[in-house]
This record gives sequence, C-alpha cells and structure tokens, in this order.
Amino acid sequence: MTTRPDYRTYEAEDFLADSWFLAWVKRDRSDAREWWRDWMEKHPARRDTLLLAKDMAEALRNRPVPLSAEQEKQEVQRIVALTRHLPEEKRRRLWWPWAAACVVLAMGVYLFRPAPVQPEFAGSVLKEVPAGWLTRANGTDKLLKMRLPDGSQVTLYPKSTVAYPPGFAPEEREIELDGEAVFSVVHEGKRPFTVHTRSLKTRVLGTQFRVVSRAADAKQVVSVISGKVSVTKAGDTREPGAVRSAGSGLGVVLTANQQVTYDMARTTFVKELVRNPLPVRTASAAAKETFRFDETPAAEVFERLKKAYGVEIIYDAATLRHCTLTASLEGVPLYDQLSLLCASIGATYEVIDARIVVTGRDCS
Amino acid sequence: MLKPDLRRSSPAPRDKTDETLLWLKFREGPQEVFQELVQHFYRELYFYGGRFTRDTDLLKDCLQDLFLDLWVYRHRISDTPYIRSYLYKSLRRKIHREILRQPSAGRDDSVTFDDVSSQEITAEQALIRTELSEYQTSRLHELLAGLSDRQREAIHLKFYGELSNEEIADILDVNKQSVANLLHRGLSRLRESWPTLLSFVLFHLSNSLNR
Repeated sequence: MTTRPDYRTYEAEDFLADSWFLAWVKRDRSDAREWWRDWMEKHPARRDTLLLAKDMAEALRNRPVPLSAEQEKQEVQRIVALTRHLPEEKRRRLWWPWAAACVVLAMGVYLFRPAPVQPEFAGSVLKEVPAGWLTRANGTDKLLKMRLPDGSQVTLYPKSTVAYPPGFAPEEREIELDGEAVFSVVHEGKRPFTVHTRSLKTRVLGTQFRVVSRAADAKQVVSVISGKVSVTKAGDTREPGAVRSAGSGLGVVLTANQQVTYDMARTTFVKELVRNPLPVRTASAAAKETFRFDETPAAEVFERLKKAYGVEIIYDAATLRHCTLTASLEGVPLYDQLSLLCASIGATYEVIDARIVVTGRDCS
Repeated sequence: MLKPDLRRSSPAPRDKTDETLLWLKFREGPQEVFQELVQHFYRELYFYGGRFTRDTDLLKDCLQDLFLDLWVYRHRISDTPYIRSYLYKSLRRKIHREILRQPSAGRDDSVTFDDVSSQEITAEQALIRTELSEYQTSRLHELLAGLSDRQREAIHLKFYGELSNEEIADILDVNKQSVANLLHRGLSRLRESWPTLLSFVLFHLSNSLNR
C-alpha cells in the first residue's frame, strides 16, 4: 500500500505539483479518480481547494499545442525513416537534401496485372493470414497510401488487400498481398522484404518495390524499376541465388526494367522487358543522364542508355564505329528513343528475351 | 556529449510504467520500438520546445537531432533510468544552443521561456475549438505572463513534464530547494489570480447563454 502525504494541509499549488493528483486530472487514471473521490468525501472542508486545483489543471492542460496530428505524424515518420540511414556514429546536422538522397537510393520493383477483368471486390481474399496481423483492404476507387511498421510505404491499388504484422520480425519483413500495390521499401541490409501472393514469392533485399497478384487472374506479372528481386513460386524455399534463368520453372531474378509473367496453369515464367522502361533513379544529380547527344558515337549513346535504364543492349560496336548521333531526347520513352536513334543511323532494333538487340550498318 | 551525471537521475516513484517499459524495450534495440518512443514524446516535447522559440523549423530540427541522437547513442545512454528527464534536458540544451547561435539572438545571452504574447495566441487560435476555451486560454496566458521565466519553466516541467524536483533542478541548473520555491511561488500566484479568471469565465458563459 502506497503511503500518501497528508493532503489536508495542501493548497491548490501543492496539489498541482503532486504526481498522484496529476494522475487523476491529467491522465484520468481510474484508480486515482476513485481515490480522490473518496478523499473529497472524507474531507469536505478541503473540497473547494481540490476543485480549484483541478480547474487550474484543466485550464493548463487545455493549452493548445500548435502542431496538427498530420504534421506530427509526418515528423515522427521522417525521424524514424532517417534512422535507417544512420551509422552508429555521430553525424553532424542533417540537411534536407541529404535526407532526400536517402530516398533516391532506394530501389523499385513493380508488378503489373495483365488482364483487368475483375469479379466484384469482396474484401480480403488472403489465405491464412497469421493471427494478430493487420489487414487493410482498399475498397475505394483511389490509391491508398499507408506505412508499414518499418517505415516502408505501400500504395495500395483499388480492390487490393494487404496483411502485415503490427511489428516485423527481427530477421525478415513479410507481408501478404492480393491485388496490386507499390512498395517503397526502406533499406535494411540484413532484413529482407518479402511479398507473398497466392502463387508467387517476391523477395527484395533492401529496396523499394511494388507487387500485384489477384486471385482472379490466371497470369501474374512482376516488374522491376530498379534494383534486384527474386521471384519464386510460393512455398519454394530455395535461396534466390539458386534461381537463375527465365523459363527454368524455378523462378527468376529480375533487374531494372525487367518483368516476368507467371502462367499459373502452366507454372512457367517468361522474362521480358517492361512495356515502358524508365530511367533508373540515381543518387546524385551529377550522375543523371541528360539524354542529350551531340555528335556522340553510337556506341557511347548505347552505353549511356544501358546505364540509364539498367538494361542490356546488344550491338556490334565494329559495324557502328563510324556512326554518330545528335539528339536531345530527355523525357522521351526508351523505345521511342531507340526508334529515333536507329532511324538516324539506318539501324533497327528488336527486344529478344529481355534484351535489346540493335542491328545496324556501317555509317561511313 | 552525454554527461555522466545523467546516470544518477533520481529514481522517484513514477506511475508511468508504460513509458519505462517502452524505454527498456528500446534499449534492446528493435526499430519498431523507436517509432513508438518518438510517437510517445514528440507532441509533448514540441510543446515544451515551442516555449523557447517560434521558429518551427528550428524546433523540428532540434527535435529530429534529439531523437536521432537517442537512436545513435542508445547503447551508451542505456544506463539512464528515466528517459523523460534526459529528453527534456537535451532538447533544452539543443534549442538554447541554436537560438544563441543566431545573429538576431538576445544581446544578454538569455533565452525567454514561454513568451506569451498576443502573436502566439493568434497563431494558436486556429486550433482552439470553442469560444470558452479560447477565452480561458488567453486569460491563462495573461496570468502566466505575470510570472517570471523560471517560474513558468518550472511549472511547465512539473505539470506537463511531470518531472521530479531533482530532475527539474538538474535541468534548470539550480538546487532542489530553489525548484520548490519557484513552483510554490509561481503556482500560488496563479492561484491567487484564479478566482478572477473563474468569474470572468462564468460571466462570459452566462453572457453567451443569454444571447
């Protein structure tokens, strides 16, 4: 039994500095509330003093904090996200551009759904969500943005559902998905991030990615914007390293701008390039591709494109050694860039097995 | 940077069991707990820090710095039994340092606490829901304005921070008796003026009821 001071001698100012009193008026703890109610009954002469103190406490408590819930949330998330990039050492003041660079360093994977023929959205169709996991379904027709416990961001498409634990396990971050979503995964070198869908397991080691898989679709597509992921069949416990080539039936490793289509009936993987490859985001503005070419040798142009998009481009450097290109192609999609460049040097290109093959002739 | 004297913070009995549990969990490392911890303290510390400066960018920077320090040094500060007083003290030091670094800073090397001027009330008004509490708040600010800086800060640390007198003494760099005096004089003064505040509120209330 806790011994309380003799509150009969207390004035309002003494109450206000007393933690047991504050447990009642500030936090409204039920044990404290009852205790003080009793006390008032026993000491009616001190009742006014106590109520004055309570009144003062309420006025103090009601002083507004000029911080909206939204701002608060933002700041907390920003701080938490920043810790992922902190060494266990003292760093000097953090600046905004520095923080932005961290985000750019993240990578992306996208999964697209080929046939948008959907049955009525019936909420969660996730199988066997572990007990205690949180499930969120997007029944609206808008994108739904949300945060995972590790600070990673999910953009959930309409008629999609995700489930995840309230806190991720120390060794792995796992989530379940039905439908379509983009994951902006916070980099954690040691803790892989895995998205489980009905028939596929997409695993990303410290990156940012997006996953789509609908129960109704016979085919599922995973595509990668940047970074590297492995896609295996659900239940396949082999390490991503064991998974190599397309069409092997085991699974595939995807890099930037590649995608794989998984045919659930035939259980086959077909690897290809995404329909509209995007430049891979780079950490520094200096390394960013300008897509401006001025009398640039063709080989250099293709090398720069390879680097910018992280894709493979095969060409015969000897044949093209006399070809140069002059063009400003910023903001033009890759395939249009290739068409323009090839047209100006009399070459053609085709996409074969996730590679771009350029066939040209001597320009001299 | 972390003074060893933090380690002998007074182990006054505290009913904030949840907070202590959170802190114990955090010392073991998981990042999820860090988020909980930041979430738990952010608003309260923002309120405290906001008493020193109206520069919200500076305030947010200091808070960010404070929590990132906590993350980076979590192994070293794990001996601190009570995280609460550590956070208040560190935030205060960071804000003071930043304010005094600015060229426009006070000539006399001092930082004001809780400068309850009309400007602040206006800024806050958007967040105040009812006419009554708005009135109450502005009256309360008038009363608080009648106290000294140190009295206001001691009351803040006691009432909002719920720190022990020893912890407040450590933060304000005075002895424990001075804290007791600051609190007692400050709160007595508030109490003496309180009936006026109350009657004004009642008058105001009946006025609006008659309308």
